[in-house]
Amino acid sequence: MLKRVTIPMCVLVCFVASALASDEDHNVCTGDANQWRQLFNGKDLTGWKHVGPGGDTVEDGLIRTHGGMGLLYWTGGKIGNCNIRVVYKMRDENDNSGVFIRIPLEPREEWMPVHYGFEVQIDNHPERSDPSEDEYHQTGMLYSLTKPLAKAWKPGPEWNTMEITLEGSRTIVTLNGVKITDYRDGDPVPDKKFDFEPQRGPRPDFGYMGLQNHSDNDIVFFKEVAIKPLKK
Amino acid sequence: MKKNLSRRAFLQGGTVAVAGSALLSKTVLLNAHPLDALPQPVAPSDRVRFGMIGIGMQGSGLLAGAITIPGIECVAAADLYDGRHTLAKEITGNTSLPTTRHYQELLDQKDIDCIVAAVPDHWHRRVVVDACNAGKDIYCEKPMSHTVADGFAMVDAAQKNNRIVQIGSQRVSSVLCAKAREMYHDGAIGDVSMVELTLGRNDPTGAWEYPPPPDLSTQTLDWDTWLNDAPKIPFNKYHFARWRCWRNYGTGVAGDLMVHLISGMLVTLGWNETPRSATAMGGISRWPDGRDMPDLHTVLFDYHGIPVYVRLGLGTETQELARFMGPKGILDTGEFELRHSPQAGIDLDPSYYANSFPAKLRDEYFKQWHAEHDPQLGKEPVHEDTVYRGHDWDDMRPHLHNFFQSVKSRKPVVEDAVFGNNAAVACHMANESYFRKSPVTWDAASKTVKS
Repeated sequence: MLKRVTIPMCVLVCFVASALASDEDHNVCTGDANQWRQLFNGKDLTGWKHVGPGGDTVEDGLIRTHGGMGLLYWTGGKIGNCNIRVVYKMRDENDNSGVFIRIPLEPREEWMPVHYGFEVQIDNHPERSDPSEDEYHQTGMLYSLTKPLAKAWKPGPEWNTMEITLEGSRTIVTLNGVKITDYRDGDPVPDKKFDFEPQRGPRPDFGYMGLQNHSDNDIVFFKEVAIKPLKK
Repeated sequence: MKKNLSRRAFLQGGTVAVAGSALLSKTVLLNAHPLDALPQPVAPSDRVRFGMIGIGMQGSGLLAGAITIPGIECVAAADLYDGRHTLAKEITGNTSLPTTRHYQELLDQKDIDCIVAAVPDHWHRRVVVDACNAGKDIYCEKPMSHTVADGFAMVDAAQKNNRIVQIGSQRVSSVLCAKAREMYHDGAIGDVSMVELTLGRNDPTGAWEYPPPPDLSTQTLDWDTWLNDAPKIPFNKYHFARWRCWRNYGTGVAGDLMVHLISGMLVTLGWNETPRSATAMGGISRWPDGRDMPDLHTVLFDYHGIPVYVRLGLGTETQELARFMGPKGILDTGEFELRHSPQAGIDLDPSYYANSFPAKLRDEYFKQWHAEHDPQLGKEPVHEDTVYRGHDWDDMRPHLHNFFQSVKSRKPVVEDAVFGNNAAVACHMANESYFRKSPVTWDAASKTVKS
């Protein structure tokens, strides 16, 4: 006897009329403006989630990138009007990574943050392809959008301290104490040179943040990732 | 004993197991649209001369399609962006085609019989009302209106001036839609009890991230006029090219995609009405490029007690489908084919509930069931799908043809202002429910959407 297969009828779901959770648009970086809040606990990746190829592990108290291109993002929510401090070093003479900011939605895959957020680049020697990347694509720049105000990186596997200030729509990057980027929405930017460059246009004041793992040949270690609200 | 062979079993069973049983689906090629058998040349008295307003992505296709219809001629074109003056000349092959930034000049021209307009949603009311008041018939792109009030103003203008207005949900002119309507009214699925409308895309162009024309500037475009009644903002090439992303200019996935599905549903079922209520949920989940219209939009409509549920998404590609469900089966209308899947609606095997009987009772039940229900050898019922395909998927030219025919004959078009307005109101209700985060109802007395 052939058992009859019951086909479940399409059940009419009783919709709750509301926007999706991703609509939540408040800033979770609040509290004491004199106190850094460590987003990385130094032991494991609690509070972080990875999307895309590759991944990250914690070794000797450091976040280590593996493979790529993917993104490890902080799941705590959207941040803005704050300082972000990231202490990192490269494994080799040069390696590629980046700190993503102003990601408008919680990431579900690796390319949305590239196209619609900003990447504060980590890469001292951009690709010499044809057409070639240039100084708009080097460490501390909003990738492909801004030109360096100064050169401040410490080479190869030395520790670097990057501080990113999100002040409304203004983004300031200092590297090892030297201001190298100061950008506001609407400032002139070069035309898009590559498909993998971000969309031009404004970004949200508050967004998700994350750390890029670029490829097997680009290993970067992060010692500290911390945020602090701006002083009122 | 395997008479109720499932499709999977059929595929796995090979030819031996199914020898002698009927095929599970057959394909029928529908006759081509009569448009392709029109006589040529056309007598001068039967020719129709039209003016083209808006030669963008959709307008360029309409213009190219219209001038291939025998007896149809484009005599002038208007657009606020000069690059499209060049484009209109290129499409028509007429280097001296008169072009202008001012569409009013086309409306004033006595030798223009009618207008074909493909302008952003926030321009529909003005162009259609002005055309009707100028005595011109008009084909206007879908959705008919940008707001509920706009739609009723357009219906009034068409009726007051006794003008032919055709709205451009071209799918309703397809041979597939005509076949679906015929089959539904012949009782193919019984009375419809539920409708499902779905469409999904997953690419930047599908999500309206179009590349702006490289030479677009305030020199080549009359930006201030383009804004029309929208808030005044500085020149923004993305707003011009990607206007569907913003509520100030467009109507989102509801107005761009759902209106085709709703229009096709209304024609298939022979309905011409607004929904009674709509409950929507959605969000921006895939393309956070600064847009304010959702890229994920689900809606549950009430059409005189019949649930119509809609899934529109720009984050995952799924086929376009209008599924009509009734007690006698399913009609699936897709972009390229119509599938009829009849259902007997009766038990084809003994009820599996009998497995809960003790063995003696169960065996008796099975024996009796087979004695009473088994068909005689060679008289097994056949439940096969039928798939209908058209010769040509181009439904835009038939839809234009229907309009030009009506311009001459003064007979009604397939998608007039009242119909177009009913379909557009459904889109506005879907958007209102999304933005208000609340179910909405249609108030026919005040012609407004209420929460």
